[in-house]
Amino acid sequence: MVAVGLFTVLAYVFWTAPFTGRDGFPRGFPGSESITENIGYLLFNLVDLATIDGEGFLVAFIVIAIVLDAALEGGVFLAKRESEGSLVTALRTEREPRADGGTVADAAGGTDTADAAPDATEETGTPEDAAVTGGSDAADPDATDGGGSDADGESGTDAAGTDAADGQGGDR
Amino acid sequence: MAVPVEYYLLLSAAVFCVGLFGILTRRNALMFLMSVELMLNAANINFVAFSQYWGNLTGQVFALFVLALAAAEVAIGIGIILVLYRNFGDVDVTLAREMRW
Repeated sequence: MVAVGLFTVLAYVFWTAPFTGRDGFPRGFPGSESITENIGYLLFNLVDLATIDGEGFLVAFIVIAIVLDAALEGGVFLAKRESEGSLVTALRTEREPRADGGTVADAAGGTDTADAAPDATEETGTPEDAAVTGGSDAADPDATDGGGSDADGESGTDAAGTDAADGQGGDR
Repeated sequence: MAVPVEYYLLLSAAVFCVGLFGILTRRNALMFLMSVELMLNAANINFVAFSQYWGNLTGQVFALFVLALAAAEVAIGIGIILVLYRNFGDVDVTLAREMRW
């Protein structure tokens, strides 16, 4: 409703404004001159070489270049994420060693260290939540199993952690 | 015979109002970005139309700068949408009510 009302007002103003009645308008550009060439001259403040009216924009050109650079940095900063304790970012490409023996590239690809817990972490997207949820629920299977062997207890813990993380991911 | 400048202005107003409608009604962050782009390009149509009207290249050069600014804005916007999706599992702009979570 607001958009339609605004368009109505704008259309009325534009249609009743005296644009076409003025002598010498629209001026247009001379057909013999290259507009692109003149834009290039104006971008670099070479106003004397330009054959079409305009003004220099060198400062604005540099400011926009800095803004684009800042946007690139901001995009890379916003795109980085933390996966199983290591930082995954576009600024690291070489295979850097980690404390647990893996590499940053392995963590990003998930080839060597792909077991149950990292999969659950990737599904939920927040490693802290998955770790906390899995840790709290993991105590229950250990308490109920009681006299089970160590191998069973560990597998039960992993399964509980994965299920909890999956359920949380489903809720979101 | 050149197209009168009023037609360009009407087209620009229509595109701008479509963008405004998208911003006011949509909740998807990607739709938000597209609507902002529509509004910026409506301004570009005005710049180029009046550049031709006055026979001056300043409007066309300024339209180029607006395009570059729109590219920077989209880069940051998509980064924000990425973080929004990672933290909320959705790109609904009404989910994020605080500046940090």
